[in-house]
Amino acid sequence: MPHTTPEVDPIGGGVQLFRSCMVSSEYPGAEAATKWLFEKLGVEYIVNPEQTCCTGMGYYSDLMPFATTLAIAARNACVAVEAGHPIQAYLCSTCYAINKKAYRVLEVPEHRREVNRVLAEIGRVYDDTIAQTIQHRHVLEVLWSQHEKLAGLVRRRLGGIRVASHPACHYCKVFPDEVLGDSENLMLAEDLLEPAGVISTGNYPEKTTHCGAGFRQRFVNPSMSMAVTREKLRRLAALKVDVCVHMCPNCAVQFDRHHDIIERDSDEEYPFVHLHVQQLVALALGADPDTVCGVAAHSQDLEPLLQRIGARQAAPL
Amino acid sequence: MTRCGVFLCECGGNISGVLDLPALAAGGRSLDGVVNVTVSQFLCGAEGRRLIEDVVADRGLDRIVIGSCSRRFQGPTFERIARDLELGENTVAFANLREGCAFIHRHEPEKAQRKAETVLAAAVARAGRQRPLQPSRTFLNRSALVVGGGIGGLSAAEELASAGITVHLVEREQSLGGYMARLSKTFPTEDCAMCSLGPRLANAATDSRINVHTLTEVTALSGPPGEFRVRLRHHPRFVTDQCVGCGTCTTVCPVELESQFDLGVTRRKAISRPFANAVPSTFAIDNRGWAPCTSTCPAHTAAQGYIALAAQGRWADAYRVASAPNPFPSVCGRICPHECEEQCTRGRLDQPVAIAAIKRFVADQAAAAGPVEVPARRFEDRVAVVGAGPAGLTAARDLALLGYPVTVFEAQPVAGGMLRLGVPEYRLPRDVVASEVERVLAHGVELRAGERCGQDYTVDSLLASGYGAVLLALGLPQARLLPLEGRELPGVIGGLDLLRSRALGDPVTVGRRVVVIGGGDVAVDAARTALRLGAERVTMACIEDRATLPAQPGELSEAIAEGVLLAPSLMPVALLGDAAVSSVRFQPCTLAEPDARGWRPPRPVDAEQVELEADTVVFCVGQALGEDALAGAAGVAVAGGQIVVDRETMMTGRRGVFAAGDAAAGGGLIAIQAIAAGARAARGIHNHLRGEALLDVWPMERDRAEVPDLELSRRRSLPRQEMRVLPPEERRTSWQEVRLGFNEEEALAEARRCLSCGGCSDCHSCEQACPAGAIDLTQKPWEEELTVGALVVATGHQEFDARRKPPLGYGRYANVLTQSQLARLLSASGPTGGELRRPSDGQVPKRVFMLQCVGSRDSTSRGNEHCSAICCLFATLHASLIRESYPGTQVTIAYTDLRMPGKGHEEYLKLVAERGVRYVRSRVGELAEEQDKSLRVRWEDTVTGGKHEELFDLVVLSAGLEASAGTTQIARVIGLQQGAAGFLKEYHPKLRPVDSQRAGIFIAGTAQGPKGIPETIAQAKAAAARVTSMLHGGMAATPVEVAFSDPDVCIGCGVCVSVCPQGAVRLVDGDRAHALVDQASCRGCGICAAECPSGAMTVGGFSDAELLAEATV
Repeated sequence: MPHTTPEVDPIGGGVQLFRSCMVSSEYPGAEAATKWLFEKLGVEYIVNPEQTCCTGMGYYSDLMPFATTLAIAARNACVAVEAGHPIQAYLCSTCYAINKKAYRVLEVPEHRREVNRVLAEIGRVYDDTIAQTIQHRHVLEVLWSQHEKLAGLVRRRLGGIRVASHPACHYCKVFPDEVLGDSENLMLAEDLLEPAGVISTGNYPEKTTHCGAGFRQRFVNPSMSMAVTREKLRRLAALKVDVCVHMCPNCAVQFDRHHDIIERDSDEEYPFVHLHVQQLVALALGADPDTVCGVAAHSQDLEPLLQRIGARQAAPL
Repeated sequence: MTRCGVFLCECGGNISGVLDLPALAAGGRSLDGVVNVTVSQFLCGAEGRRLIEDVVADRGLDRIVIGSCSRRFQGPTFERIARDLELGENTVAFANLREGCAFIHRHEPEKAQRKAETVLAAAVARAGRQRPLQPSRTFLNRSALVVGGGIGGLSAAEELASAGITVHLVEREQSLGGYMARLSKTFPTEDCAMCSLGPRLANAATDSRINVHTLTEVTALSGPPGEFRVRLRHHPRFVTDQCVGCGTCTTVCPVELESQFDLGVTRRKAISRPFANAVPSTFAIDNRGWAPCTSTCPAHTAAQGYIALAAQGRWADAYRVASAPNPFPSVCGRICPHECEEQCTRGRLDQPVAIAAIKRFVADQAAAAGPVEVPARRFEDRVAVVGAGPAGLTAARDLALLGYPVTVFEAQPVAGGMLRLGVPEYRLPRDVVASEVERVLAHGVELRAGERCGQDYTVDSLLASGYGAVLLALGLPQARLLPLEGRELPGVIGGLDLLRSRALGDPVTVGRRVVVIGGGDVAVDAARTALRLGAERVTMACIEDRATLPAQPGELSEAIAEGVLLAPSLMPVALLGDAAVSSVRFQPCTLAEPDARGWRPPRPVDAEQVELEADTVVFCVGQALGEDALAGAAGVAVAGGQIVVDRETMMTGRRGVFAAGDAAAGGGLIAIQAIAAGARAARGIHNHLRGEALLDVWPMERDRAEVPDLELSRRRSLPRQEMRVLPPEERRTSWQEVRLGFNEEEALAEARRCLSCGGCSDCHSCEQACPAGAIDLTQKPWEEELTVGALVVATGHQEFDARRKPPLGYGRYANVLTQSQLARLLSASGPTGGELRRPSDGQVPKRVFMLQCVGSRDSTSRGNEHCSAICCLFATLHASLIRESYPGTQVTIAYTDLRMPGKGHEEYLKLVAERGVRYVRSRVGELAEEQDKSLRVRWEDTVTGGKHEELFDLVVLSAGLEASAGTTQIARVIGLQQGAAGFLKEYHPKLRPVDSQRAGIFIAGTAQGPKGIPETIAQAKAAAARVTSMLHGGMAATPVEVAFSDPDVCIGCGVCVSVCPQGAVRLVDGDRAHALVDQASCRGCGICAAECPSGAMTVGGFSDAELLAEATV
């Protein structure tokens, strides 16, 4: 099928891979797979030791004020531009949305003044040059910009593997008019995986439904949080998917860590697994499941899928 | 010096509540040229008029300054007073004290006062510079064009006709009625839509002053108001007025398409009439052009046609279509490279339809089509066809069908040409060729086999013996050998000779090791034949690499599977051997860039030569005309190894002698190209013999019908039927056909995968079935130009495409409909006869959910901000109808706000609520389909904040209104402005609500904005009244605020022509080119004057003197 994700200009470099606290602590393989893919696709990038956490988890859990988040976002933009890598590519949709939100707020003069008062203490300033140079992209957008190379790089065909995507709310719903494609039926993941020969479910009932995590809701309101997750798991099971792919570590934690628990508590079966989009694309391109994709960090047993797609044998050259 | 009077208006407090008018008046009295200042409570009323009249008379004024509201609002009122007082045109100046001062500076009265003083002084200064201007008059044509055949257009047309104005009513669709014809009932009276619409339709059909043009579009507009020249494009209906409306055609039409009239809730045939009382009542054929398969086929075979018939198991009909342009469908179903499949639209979705395999199955059922009827002899001119290959036999059949006596001469003992003697029988069984040759001969064609042109007879002798025309379809029967050392050695043969000997049953042997030189289809055939003749090792050596090898990929892979070895990128340099050939020496090579003819010569690469052992070497490197074939054919020229023909007539350099097929220039080397060429030659010969161009030698090209990606993405994927083949180990020693074809079940399943890209499939079934002889598939689009005085645009709206809201599941979930679709289900003339049935299972739904504001009042980028005005009532009406007919069905309406102002509407809402319809004020989330196709709906009650979740059997979306595609098209063509959601902009929303921005063009109905039927009719009649008042006198005065160009100053650069949005300026030649403004078309926007580099262009009332005076106070 012709893809529906719009074409974008290729991003070949100038990328600051924005590290995510959730990805680093929960699924380091999502980051490693992204780096591996960037190298395969010829995307020049840096990991900047000056970059700090986006604070999204703290902000959305009502632990810190937005002013703090704003100042940190401004600082992170400054260090990216200083390093000559102004395209901040986010592994996590929370990082994506909160930095984009900060970018908007920093257009308001009084907020920018206040932030610059703080930044002055560390000898930095968020000015028009920074604002006009910095770019905020999800890593999948960077990968998509190089998608024409994917077909030629596939080493493990994923023929017969049924894939559904869970579009992250903080990618689709915070800035719905800025997503790559249709915010109410995002096909970015499906289109990235199409050259690998997956069977995509495309749009499906409750595709736009939340993962249920809701930051602290997962802890303070677990019954509601898990009920939402269960609803989606049931839908995906009915579609007979093999893999549900994610674009945000918060969603991945909610699904991967709780999948078996909800299955047990509800006495239902959801015979599929969860992966980050980048992990599955990397597997299709021949990446090592352990050293590149970090599958050991997952709660679910990924071995049957890895066997099925031939990822337990070395990929053909 | 002018004598100026200033009149200040209090506007009932609107102005005087903010401004100090006595102070302003006092200041005004001291301005130059002012002889009087007066203040009035309401200057625009009768008292104000009397005041102005009195002061003008008493004080002898010749200029008036009005200090009141905006000129756009009340300018015409005061200009008319000045005209009545015979002060002349351009004698009133305006100071905008209301909108410009009092309104906008309401909270800053001091600033407002200062601004008012300046504005007034400016107006007085301008008045002193204003010079009277002369209006001009224009002749008006007393006819009108109404665009759009819905209730708005019909009402306007009816009103205009009753005022004695000739009306041209133009509609894009095949019948009148528009959106209203699709409705079941109308609110708030719940009367049947057709009961109100029917009489309007009947009127339009019978009123002699109304000329109805359906399937017609306006493509251009020029000329001034009063004498508009309108260009219309009429699309063919393919059905003539002889149609009696019996509907026999629809029973035989094999193509089912989504019914646009029923808004996709049902399907209709490619020939159809939307509803029983349609005007006109004539059926129409939905022909969208050539499907890609038909477009690609060299013979333009209606592949979609035979596939559509095959999908219904109508094998005899399918054979008729497949064999119409091609007497060898069974052959082509087997050996054609089927480029049609490469272009098949389904290939973009999953895999292409197996067109060739379906054709093969259809053609193998030829017996079902019955014996051939010998066509009647109509002409005595005898035609000789030389060569009984596909080109010659196709021409012979087509000439016989045209009524000519035809004799085919063939050098070989059997007919069929390359099909019989070149293509091996494991690909194309002999009996298949024989049977199709027999059917050609059964048309009364005489065959003289074993007679060789150039030896037994010549072209000269044929013409001398009385043949009126000769067709040379000689083919290229001679195998070419490369001029290599050792080519005379025993064991070196031509590929065609090998294949021909085998086909004729002559004794033929090959050695143990065979090398075939060549990379085309003949080489593959020769290699596989050699295998079957017992060779142990067969190698195909060719100059091309694997990627550019010209052989058909399918044939090549079958050959490789059978054990043929491939040695690409090798050019032969010598044949070695003593008594017989024993090996071939090759030089590794690559291909050079193509030369002028496209030929890529081999270029040796720096690598060691290789030697392949061979007992037999077969050359398959090209074919040539037979020796001496053209002896005794003076005037027939040969170039590049082929006979030269005129492309347009197929005639050679010798009058009466034609050529086609491989032997003729432009002929390809595959059967279907030869067949197409043979058919062209037959038409060329007919034109020649009849002495006039009766038939198009090259068929008239038609547009290619494309299915847009979006539509394609909604189609279900269906896997292609794979054809069974003999296993390689079995077939390598067998002459049995390798590909086994489809069985009936497979052929049916495969045919049903066709997407019907072209709409009508060109199967001609309707033509055969129509008892009235009303089908005319040769109709073409045609254009005409009309002159009319005025236009009414009533092109209506379209429903918001609810697919733009993916979470609502429209288009994905069977039981999610729109209100318009529900209207079709509730309509007595609809697909269910008015019964409410849910689409998934045909059951009466027990729980119906209606969701309001879909695409309306939506500030996201996927919706529209406006309220669509009718949806609350539309949903209420449908809820009421459902409750009345199905008391057991619950209806819930989820609304944002209930908006239904208007006479009787609130009372109607109350009544329907009492009928038990539940209204919930809410926001709705994503809909989800359950296994039984019911829908889970979650909503937040926006009154209580409560969350709700319920299951429903049917969900109906109240999708909002947007301007129709026709509205956008007409706006572009005639230069109307569109606002939000594409609705047409009116000249003034309050004072001139049915005038467009262009003079003489009026707008009405939902093209202007969302509204119900009564408002549409009222607006349409208002537009008709505006047209009537404009055209009534036959002449109209043109206002003075129009541009004019001074020819003495104009430099003729044409900038004004390019910038005028009305197209009112043109350059005329006199002593020298200069601009001339058509004053009736000009709307005085002033762009031309602003752009004019020489200062020649001025707008009346906006001279430099006036503007400078105003701007520099």
